[in-house]
Amino acid sequence: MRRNGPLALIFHTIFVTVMVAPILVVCLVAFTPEGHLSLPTNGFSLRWFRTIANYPEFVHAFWVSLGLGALSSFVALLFAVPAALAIARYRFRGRDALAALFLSPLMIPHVVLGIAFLRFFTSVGLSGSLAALIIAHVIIVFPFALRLTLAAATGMDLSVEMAAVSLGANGWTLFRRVTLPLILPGVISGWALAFIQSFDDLTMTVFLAAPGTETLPVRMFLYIQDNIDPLVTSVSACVIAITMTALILLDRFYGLDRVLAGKGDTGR
Amino acid sequence: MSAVADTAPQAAAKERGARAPWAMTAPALMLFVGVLLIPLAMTVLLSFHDWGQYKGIEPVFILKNWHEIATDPYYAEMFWRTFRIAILTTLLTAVLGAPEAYILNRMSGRWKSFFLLVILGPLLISVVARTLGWALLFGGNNGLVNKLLMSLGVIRAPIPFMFTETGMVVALAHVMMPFMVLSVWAALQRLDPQIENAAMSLGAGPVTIVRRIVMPQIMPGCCRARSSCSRCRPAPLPRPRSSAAAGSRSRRRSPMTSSSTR
Repeated sequence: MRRNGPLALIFHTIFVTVMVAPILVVCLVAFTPEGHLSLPTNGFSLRWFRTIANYPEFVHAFWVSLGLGALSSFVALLFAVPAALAIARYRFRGRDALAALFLSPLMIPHVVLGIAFLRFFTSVGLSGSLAALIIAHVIIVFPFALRLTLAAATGMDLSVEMAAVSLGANGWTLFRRVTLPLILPGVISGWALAFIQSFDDLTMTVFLAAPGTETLPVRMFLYIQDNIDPLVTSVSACVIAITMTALILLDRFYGLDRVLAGKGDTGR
Repeated sequence: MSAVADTAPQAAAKERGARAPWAMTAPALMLFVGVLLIPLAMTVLLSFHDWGQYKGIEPVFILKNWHEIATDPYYAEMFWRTFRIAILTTLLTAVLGAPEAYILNRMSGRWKSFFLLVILGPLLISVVARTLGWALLFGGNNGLVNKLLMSLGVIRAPIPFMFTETGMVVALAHVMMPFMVLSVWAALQRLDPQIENAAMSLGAGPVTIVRRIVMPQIMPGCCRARSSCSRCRPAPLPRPRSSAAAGSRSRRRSPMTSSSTR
């Protein structure tokens, strides 16, 4: 009864193949020994990975992306953790409206955000700066940071905090020693998901990035517009490898289905 | 206040409770007002301004831009194309994603989590890398997909994928597929398998079970996925549902909000 028939398994196999195919083909082509895009038919070669070193703009863009992702996710959490605790614990007027506002960057197309940010940062004289990029990324990763912190804070047992209060803990001590450790898995997963989103964003960032503050996706996009050669596939393969590592860690640490579906807070 | 001794602290706590959430959300609220709402409002305002090649943006209030969007067939075509691609992508995603979620849900634990990782993984992998993958697979008239389809005898002549709507729909469906699988899968999780068993014991065949028992129950999940798909945006993460304990606690605090579980 609970088993899949052969037809279902054939469908499943084709489905998974199609899902994986584009990613796999990028990784395979990255190992080609040829000078043009082709599947490596006669042996694997690392020449295109070594070529990356000759393009300092890719390396620089990678560090920009990494720093931007880490910093903006962290800043987003600084704002999101108190907000999530308030939304999880209190019922107050405007609570739903606030939650909707905080999640709204998910609903607004990134093109619109890009245009809005470009106009805004130009008028305040920050256009093209790293600060503008960081602020913009804080906004777009905020929903992810909030969502996971919220899920953790909602499932938290408040009696533990009450016990701490009865033992004389207050304000900062209470938060640092009791609340934060309890919601930490959610906070860290929120950071990781926010980081991945920031690291990956192209649509919004392409409006704000200037030479010198180009992120890796922007750099890759601009490069692909000019010419597609195996270099972009090797860069992509590196990005895929980094994301996969983060993904597997996230899955081990917290459970990918919980991270993505917010399922963890239904069954507890 | 003429409060009785034991309700006085409660009243104080309530007063504090009214201010505390605002104090805690204030930084984020200020950030959002300052860096999200104001820029968006500025963009809306900009749509009423005039613009010329030599004079730049002129801060006047006119409806020229709106009139142009409404009347110029160029924009109408663009809107229609966007809409059409979104609909086709959503349909394709639903037709393929929902059965896959069903199959996934029937797998045993270890395989389920493995394939879930495989299917959800692309969600977090760079869109640039994924799209590059499709460009490589489609690549011209003798791309890998066309070669495969022709060698299998599915098609005779190569289908032009690159720079066509067909290719865009396929690639977009690939990007959106994890959302559909995830939403339907989450809906299936809440399904009681005993209902299926009961239907079977009453003589329902597999097709009838899916059509009459499973489909009606997972439709909300499909619709949610569909709405996030047609937005053509990475908008995952259905709202977290409050846990039973926290839910009842908050409900005690305010009976008015108890129906707002959706």
